[in-house]
Amino acid sequence: MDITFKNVSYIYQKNSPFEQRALEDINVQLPSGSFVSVVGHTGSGKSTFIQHLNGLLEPTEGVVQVGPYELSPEKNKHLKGLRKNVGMVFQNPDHQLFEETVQKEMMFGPKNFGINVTGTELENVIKDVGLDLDILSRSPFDLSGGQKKRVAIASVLVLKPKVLILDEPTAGLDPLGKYKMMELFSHLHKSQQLTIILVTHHMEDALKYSDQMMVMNKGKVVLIDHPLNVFKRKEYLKEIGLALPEKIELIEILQKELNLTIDDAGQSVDELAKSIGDWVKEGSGS
Amino acid sequence: MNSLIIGQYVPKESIIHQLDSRLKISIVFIYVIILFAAETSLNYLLFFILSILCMSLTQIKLSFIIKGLKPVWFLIVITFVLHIILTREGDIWFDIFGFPVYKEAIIKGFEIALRFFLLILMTTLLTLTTSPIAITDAVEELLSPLKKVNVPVHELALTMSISLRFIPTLIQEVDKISKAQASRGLDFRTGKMKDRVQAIIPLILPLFISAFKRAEELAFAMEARGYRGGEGRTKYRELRFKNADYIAGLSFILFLVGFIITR
Amino acid sequence: MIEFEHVAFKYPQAEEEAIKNINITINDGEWVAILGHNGSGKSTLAKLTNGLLMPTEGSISVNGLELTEEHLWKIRRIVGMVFQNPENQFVGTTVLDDVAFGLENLGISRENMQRRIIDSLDTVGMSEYKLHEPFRLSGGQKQRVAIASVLAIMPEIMIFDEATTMLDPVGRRELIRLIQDLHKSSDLTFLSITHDMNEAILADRIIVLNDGELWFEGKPSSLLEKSDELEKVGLLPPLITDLTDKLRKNGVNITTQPLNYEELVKQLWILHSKM
Repeated sequence: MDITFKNVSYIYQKNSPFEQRALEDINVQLPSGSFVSVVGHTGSGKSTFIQHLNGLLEPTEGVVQVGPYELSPEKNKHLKGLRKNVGMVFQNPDHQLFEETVQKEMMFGPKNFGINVTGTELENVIKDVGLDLDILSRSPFDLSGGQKKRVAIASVLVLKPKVLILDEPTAGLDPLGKYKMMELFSHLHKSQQLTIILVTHHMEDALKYSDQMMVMNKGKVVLIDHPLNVFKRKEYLKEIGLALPEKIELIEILQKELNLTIDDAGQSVDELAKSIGDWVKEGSGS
Repeated sequence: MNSLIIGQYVPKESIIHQLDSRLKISIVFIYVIILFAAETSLNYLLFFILSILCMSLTQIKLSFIIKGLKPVWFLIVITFVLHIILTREGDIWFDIFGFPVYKEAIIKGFEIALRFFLLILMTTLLTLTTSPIAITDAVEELLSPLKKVNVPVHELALTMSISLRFIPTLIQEVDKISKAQASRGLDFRTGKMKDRVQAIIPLILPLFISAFKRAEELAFAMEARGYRGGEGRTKYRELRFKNADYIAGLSFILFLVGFIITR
Repeated sequence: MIEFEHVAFKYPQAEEEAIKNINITINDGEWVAILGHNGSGKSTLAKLTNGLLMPTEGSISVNGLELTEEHLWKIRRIVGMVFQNPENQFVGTTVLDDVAFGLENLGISRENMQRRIIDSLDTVGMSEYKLHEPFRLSGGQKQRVAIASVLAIMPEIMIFDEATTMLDPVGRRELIRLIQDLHKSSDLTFLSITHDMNEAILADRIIVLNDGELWFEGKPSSLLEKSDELEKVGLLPPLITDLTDKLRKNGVNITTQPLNYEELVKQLWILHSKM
């Protein structure tokens, strides 16, 4: 599903003394099947932006178009259809888990949308998110943090959404858990042609996994491009309070300290090591 | 919904805001009690003048207060009308479409409505000008004699202040939970009453569980910082009477004297 | 000084012990990082240190005082603790009240309180926020207040129980810098619980827990030498270690394990010049 924002603004508590403009004239197009990272420091409007994608918020001005669904400042009728197609996974799984068993938890969405889910389908989703089948009969509250997250993701995937929105999905996980979770999303993206919108603070993840990166600052989209191009704007990113991926910082240090120029073209650590190795072996004599 | 101002606090730096919260609570408390002992119209005039005086000293816009009390106006009018309809004795004053209106009813109805209005106005002024935490502190101090009869006054006050501190957190949490469930198709705005009631469970349950988790972590944090009950504790927040408080207290005593004389 | 002797701990309903036969000593003025995956027992270990949990076996002592009901409150005066969730450790309705809370518990006089509150808020750079309510602060700012609250009590040992886990990268970086500065400027003993490798290697010594057992104890550089084994215990080597390993495979002879880019670049330059 293609996503289009046309002149979208959003104002919290309009016409009150607490009025606050959270989005300002957003114009973006996110093509179907892309993996988009949305970055920006706290309060930049990321969260307000993604909540427009499944109609949790409706624009104060402008139009949001997600596939056949349109959201405008006037009354929006097809929210249910939109939400069925655009799944959203929140940061904290504790905010949604409430059923006695994982199976019931997963059937909560299908029940609300009136979708039939067969036993095999359910099992496939559980396998897709990397959990064992015996988890279905367990209580979601007895699971570890990582497992809870996976159950929350499964409970959204079971609706077969076309777009999956992830709001800082790896927060609080340990490094290996983080890595595995990101690999899971990457796999879902590739195997099911899911459009993924990832809100993240981890520039490493944005660089590694996404094909589009959207940078937000003070309610505006200030950069939208391939991550490698976005990270070329080092000074600007620092100015708006964003960190650089460690790998790019390293390349910068090599340039500054050793006068060793390596183009940051998204190379792996292996390739980077090879370039540095060549330079060392080349020696200062030549 | 936001227009109702009962219980709200509006931070300002007026004389009324700066008065000692213990004094304010005591004055409002006595005011409310003797309001029911008011008899003569001079009595009522005194109450009215005092309330209007206090109101004008708060630096809060008159329109804000009047608008905020809108739902209350409605109740006041209803009370008045009910009195006119239900009172059936004394002299008939005039007729409306053949319905006799008694003189007593008008006077009684007006009296009750005025009492009701003054009561709401004065208590609202208290909360408008006193932060919740200052009210908590005052309640703790004013109730401290009850400690002697084993009423856990300190614990009650602490519970109250922690609840106040967590209200914004919990409001945010409710928002997040309802959005997470709405994303999975939960609909609590339309549909049959039965369905809507059922839709509360997926909201309440995560909220409870997370509130318990918070409570547990908070208990750990408090213990780690040496909290072991009210005994041997000192207090950082200090309530101290200033000159303005003495003047305000004295003025109120004058008002009381005036009240007794005109009664 | 903290001493753990054959310490084990089992949660009431659990089948397995969360902490198994741990023997460690933490010296005065030292900064020790405790690493481990989620559920490895590292937070349990932190809560055992100041008696928020009591060991089911073995003994713990802090500055020679054995952790018993009798010494509990003395030990809590010595050991301050900053927790993971910034929201759930903020007791006061404003920053000032929150820092005051611990002092009130200790029965400090009001005059002393005022000085200590301002001093500790100055140290963490939060004085100008003293009248702010918690919901107007960012996660990183709340954690600073939490640190000030502990500093005001003037403990000898500070435990950071995943204090940086819930912060965004910028907030985390700032908090780590503050912890580093504190370590330099005071003689406090630090125990920081984390799963962030980049944070752990700043410490003097690292302890790695795996499923409740001690898996590693030693200098940060010697932990990084074991980088290929880290994944087994749910950790990932930091980029610098990954790169060092791969440089070595490429025939670049890096002798001392670098802990930061400065050290790496220095070695690279020397190797390059020798060629």
